[in-house]
Amino acid sequence: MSEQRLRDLLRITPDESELEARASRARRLAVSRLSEHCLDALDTPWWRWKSAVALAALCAFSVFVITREPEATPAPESLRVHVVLSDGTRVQWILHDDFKL
Amino acid sequence: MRLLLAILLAPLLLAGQDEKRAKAARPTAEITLRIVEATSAANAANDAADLVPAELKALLRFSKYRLLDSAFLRGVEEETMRVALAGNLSGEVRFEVRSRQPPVMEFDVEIQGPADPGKRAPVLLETTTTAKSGETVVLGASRMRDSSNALIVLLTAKLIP
Repeated sequence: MSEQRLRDLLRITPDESELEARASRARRLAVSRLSEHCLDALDTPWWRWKSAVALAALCAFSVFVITREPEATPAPESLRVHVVLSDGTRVQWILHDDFKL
Repeated sequence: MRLLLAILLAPLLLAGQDEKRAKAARPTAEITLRIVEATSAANAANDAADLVPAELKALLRFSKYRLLDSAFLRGVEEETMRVALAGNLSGEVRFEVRSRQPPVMEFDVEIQGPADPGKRAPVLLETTTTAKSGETVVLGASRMRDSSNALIVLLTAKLIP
């Protein structure tokens, strides 16, 4: 085959139907690969995505703990008052809400 | 045989005597408790008005002082004395001598209220206080808010020489 003949052959472009068929094959191949990839993702071991969820929950809880306001100081359960009267008598008074006589 | 028995029992007998001696050596005190209910109820008795110091009454907002009970206790140091008071109350007193001269005692006092069936009696007053021999200490308890009545315990103690 002469060099000229080879150049002529290389210049030949596929016709319209051939291009269409090639594009169709390429699309099918792409869809097929994408499907395989998605199915592979669904087959990921359970501990992987559960660990991720647990880690996310831990992070959220940590943020909640760090950012929440400190609890209000609880009211004292009882109050003791010491009084010394003018005659020296010592009085000790206890106030508490559980008192019920 | 008798000799062997005497040798074996001697430590027990000596230990018992030591315990009796130690108990006898412990200080004794006479304690008077007067239990008063302070109330705002108009129809309540006012028979303990003279027992409560006037200056204290001026500080409180109760109008009537009713004597619920009086108790006279005699006991030795570091022993808990228990007493039933006013029918449905109970009290516990325990003392330790803090100083011999002048005689000063430290008291643990607890007054319990009426117990509901199957439940533990509520503690109305629980405190520790000191008192010289012959001194009267006033102990009181009431609700922190909305108190319609209060418990007043007048504790007088005398150390027996």
